[in-house]
Amino acid sequence: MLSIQNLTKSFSGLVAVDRVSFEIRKGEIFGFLGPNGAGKTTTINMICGLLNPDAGTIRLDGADVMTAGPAIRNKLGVVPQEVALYEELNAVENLTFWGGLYGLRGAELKKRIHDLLDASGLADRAKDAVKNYSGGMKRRLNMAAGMIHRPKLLLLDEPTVGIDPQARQHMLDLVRAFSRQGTTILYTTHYLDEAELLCDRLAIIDHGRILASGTQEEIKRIVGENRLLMVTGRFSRSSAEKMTQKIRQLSIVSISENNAVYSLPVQLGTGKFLEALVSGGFKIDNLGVKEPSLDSAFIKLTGRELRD
Amino acid sequence: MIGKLLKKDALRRVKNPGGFILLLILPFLFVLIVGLAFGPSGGKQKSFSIKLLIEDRDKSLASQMLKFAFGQGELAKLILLQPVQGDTGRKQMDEGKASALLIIPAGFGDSLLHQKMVDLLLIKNPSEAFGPKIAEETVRLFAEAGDRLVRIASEPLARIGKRTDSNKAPPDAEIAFISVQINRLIGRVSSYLIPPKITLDVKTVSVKKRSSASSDFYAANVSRMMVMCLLFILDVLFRDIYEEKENRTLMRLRTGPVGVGRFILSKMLFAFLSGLAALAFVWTGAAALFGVRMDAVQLFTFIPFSCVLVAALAGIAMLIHAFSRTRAQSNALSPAVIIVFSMLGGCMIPVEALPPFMQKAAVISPVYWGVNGLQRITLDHANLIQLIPHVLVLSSIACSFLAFSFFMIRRKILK
Repeated sequence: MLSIQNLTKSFSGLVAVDRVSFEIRKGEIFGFLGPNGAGKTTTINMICGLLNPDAGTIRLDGADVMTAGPAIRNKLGVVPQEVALYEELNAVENLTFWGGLYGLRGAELKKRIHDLLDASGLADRAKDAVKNYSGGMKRRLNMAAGMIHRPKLLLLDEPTVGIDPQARQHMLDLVRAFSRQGTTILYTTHYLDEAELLCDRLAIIDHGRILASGTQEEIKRIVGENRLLMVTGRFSRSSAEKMTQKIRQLSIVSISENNAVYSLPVQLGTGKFLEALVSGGFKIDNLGVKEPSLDSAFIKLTGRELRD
Repeated sequence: MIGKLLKKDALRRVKNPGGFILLLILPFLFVLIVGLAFGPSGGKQKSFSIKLLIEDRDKSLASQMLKFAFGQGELAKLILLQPVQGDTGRKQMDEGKASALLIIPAGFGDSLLHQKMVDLLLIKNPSEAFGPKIAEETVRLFAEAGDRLVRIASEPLARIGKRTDSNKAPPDAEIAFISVQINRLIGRVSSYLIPPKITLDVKTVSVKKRSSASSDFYAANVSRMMVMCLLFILDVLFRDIYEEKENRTLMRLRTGPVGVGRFILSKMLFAFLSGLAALAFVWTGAAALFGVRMDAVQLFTFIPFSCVLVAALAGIAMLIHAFSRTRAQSNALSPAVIIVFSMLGGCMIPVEALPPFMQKAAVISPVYWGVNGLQRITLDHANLIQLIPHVLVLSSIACSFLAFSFFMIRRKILK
């Protein structure tokens, strides 16, 4: 469905997206996972034609997005991170406008609006001005507007940022519903749990580069059968490095000032590790243990937690 | 596609009409305030005077005396007398520039002396309410007074007549005799017994180009205020480009089949159509409230001129936004530019009231050409051919400013 090869984009010498390549198969939900500023939105903006890449190709259904002309836009639905609706208008008027731009009209458009409002739980507030909606309702309508023309590929750019848990759950249900209807979805997020719940396959991006991609199982395998041990406190870099001499199976994931992340096989337990910390003169403020998961895979790949 | 964008913008304006309505009402408020302060019926009491044109075809002593009578005492304060010759009087009347024209026919003095019937002709301006009436009554009064004098002093006048015919000066004794006779007769004779010898023929001319002074006042001020308010309206409409950018709807539009060019074109077209609608609304309102009316010929000029005017003003408003990088910049820049252009163009102060160097500089303001054009249509009944310089200037501004702004804004959005 979507094939991206060596996509690159720089802004004033700063590389925002660096030779990014991935493929999305028809009908799947593909997660694009990374912290803020990782290059997710820049990648999405290039896919939907808002930015021209410096290098690389984007192919949708075999056609080059950059050269195929405006017709290819009809195959794409975009749900921006921020709500992009006319707040003076009501839900029906908004959807009528957005649908009309894609050539929908008459009974077909009315039915589509009716279905989308039903699916997003907004049917009873359809005639209210959007400015009177709650944040969650606006997000749902924002997503419905992206789906009005039945796109083949729906690009969702962090659609659950800044909404309450209940509204978030509603959004995730909506994404699943669209997926069941056969829509291919590219879902960018920095919430690991959303990626774990929704995505068939995913790619992890940081500093503009894809660090890993594949199914959830394939990505978890990067961590192996290891747990991650995260130490925060006062210690020297040399003492942190000496820990690997005390425990042979221990490996360093990252070390920074007052922060060290180690990887330790699950079967070894943590007792010996704690003894080594005490004998090494570590003054520990916090100690965290991560079992093998997407989260630990992310930490292993980037050296930091996703919320950082 | 552009039709759908226009429909959407119109719906948004209808749903949120507050600011737009306020801007539409502003010209009426301004004109009303100006009218109350300086207008024909308000503010400080203005000195009232009647402009009476006198065409003296006789140039005799009697006609001189009649003219002299208007220049005496309180009457001189009320009636501004202007002697005219030939066609100039009729021309001024045609243009509505005087209250009345009094024509003293040739042979007026001789007819009086020989007690023959004589007609004075008074032509009145129908567009003025009181001036012509007062002029008529005053002339009628003089005519009657003169008539009485002729009746009473018929015998002495006959003697004077004979003397003037023979070109011989009367002896002192005869003058004394005539004076005594006149004095006696004035006291003795009742005027109602005598049919008039001097009659006043009153005509009312049709004034071609002027409506009432009141509606002229309002037409001039509506023209001024309308152009300034149009600039503000168009400015608000072009701000919508920023609003759509900030609300991310522009971004969503760009991800769909709407290109940036179409988006900007739709905004330009919407501003133009809204500007025309605003202009039509204000002129309709001005007709209802202030009696500012236009006939079919004026409308024929007004409609195409309005199109050029709105396009030029849209060019100015759009240019402001083309040069502003952010909404904050345009918020600061646009009122300053609009007010300077408006002041220089004669929206707030008539250009004639500006210092000479500013009057010369006024022509660089497109607003000047708009205000002047509208005033010439409404006040002077100028046609499109007479407004060619205005149309050329405004259409040049419209084409160049709109094209330049289009490319600037497009570049800014794509960047």
